[in-house]
Amino acid sequence: MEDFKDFLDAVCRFLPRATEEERAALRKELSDHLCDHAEFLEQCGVPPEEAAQRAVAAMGSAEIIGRDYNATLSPVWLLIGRICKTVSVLLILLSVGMLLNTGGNLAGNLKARFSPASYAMSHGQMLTQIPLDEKISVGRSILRCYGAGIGLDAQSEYFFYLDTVLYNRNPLQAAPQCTPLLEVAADGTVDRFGGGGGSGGAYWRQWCYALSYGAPAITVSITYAGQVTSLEIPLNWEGVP
Amino acid sequence: MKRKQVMAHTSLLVLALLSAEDMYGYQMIAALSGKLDSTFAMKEGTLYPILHALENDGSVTSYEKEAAAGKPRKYYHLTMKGKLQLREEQSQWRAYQRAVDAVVSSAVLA
Repeated sequence: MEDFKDFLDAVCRFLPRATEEERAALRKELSDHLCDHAEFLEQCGVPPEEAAQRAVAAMGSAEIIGRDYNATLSPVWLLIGRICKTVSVLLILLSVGMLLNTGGNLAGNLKARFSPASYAMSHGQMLTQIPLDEKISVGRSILRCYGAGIGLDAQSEYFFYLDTVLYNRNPLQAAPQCTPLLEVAADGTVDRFGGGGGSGGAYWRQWCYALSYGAPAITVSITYAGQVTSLEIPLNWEGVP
Repeated sequence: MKRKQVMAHTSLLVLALLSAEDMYGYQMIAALSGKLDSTFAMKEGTLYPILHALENDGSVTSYEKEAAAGKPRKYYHLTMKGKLQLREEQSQWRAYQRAVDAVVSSAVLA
């Protein structure tokens, strides 16, 4: 049946408009025809091999059949099929993108929950660390103040730093875009460094304020999403040169 | 008969065959070769583009059914639209036949 296969392959080469289903349907119909004809010839005493060759020859030119058949096919279905395939691929890519994004959010969120200090944000030499872990929940947002201390900047001036991370209560969702506002009521100084970063899952920021040597405490007033929280943080200068 | 003439009339022949009974491709070819002898030297594969065009046009519909030998085959059925088309083409063919006959029969051979 190699003759049949070659002939059917040749016809199918001239069917650029055909969908897979249309191509398969014509192939089957022509194959059935060839089998019927060859069977008839064999019943008439023709040897099988010759019967197959004669059946193929009786069909005529594979190119003419293919071209004539192709002309009867509407390109619309093929076009729709290709559009559907393209849309499917795009949807898959979009889904993968969303999945990866969700995964990114989850990773950032978990890091903020379990290991916030692993996000490096140092803007100077850290001299002391003050134990602190304060969480401010507003709606779906959590602003976590997880680190504070006294540092020394490049101009040999002392500063107070407060490390915060903002993340969503739902680990799969992105961190809220609302930025907290921090005010320091100690020396009346202003934020000097700012800085920070993060992914869609969590946003870290180090807030830095100039500080006079020996100040006993610092009050940080955090305004986030309309909610004001004040933290009274005692400063320990022991061991600070 | 030349190929173009054959092609032009094959759809009429197909419609005429299907007016009697539903048939599949090879069955139509076998029926045509039995009725037309070698006058109608039609390449068998040319039948399928014509059948598909008639199907697109709504003149025939197709369905799968087991043939006499128990093998499933794609059968074609003449629709009402196909019957109307057959009637129209039949009358056109007869008019053409009469006109050609009138001229050919009056030919004078020296």
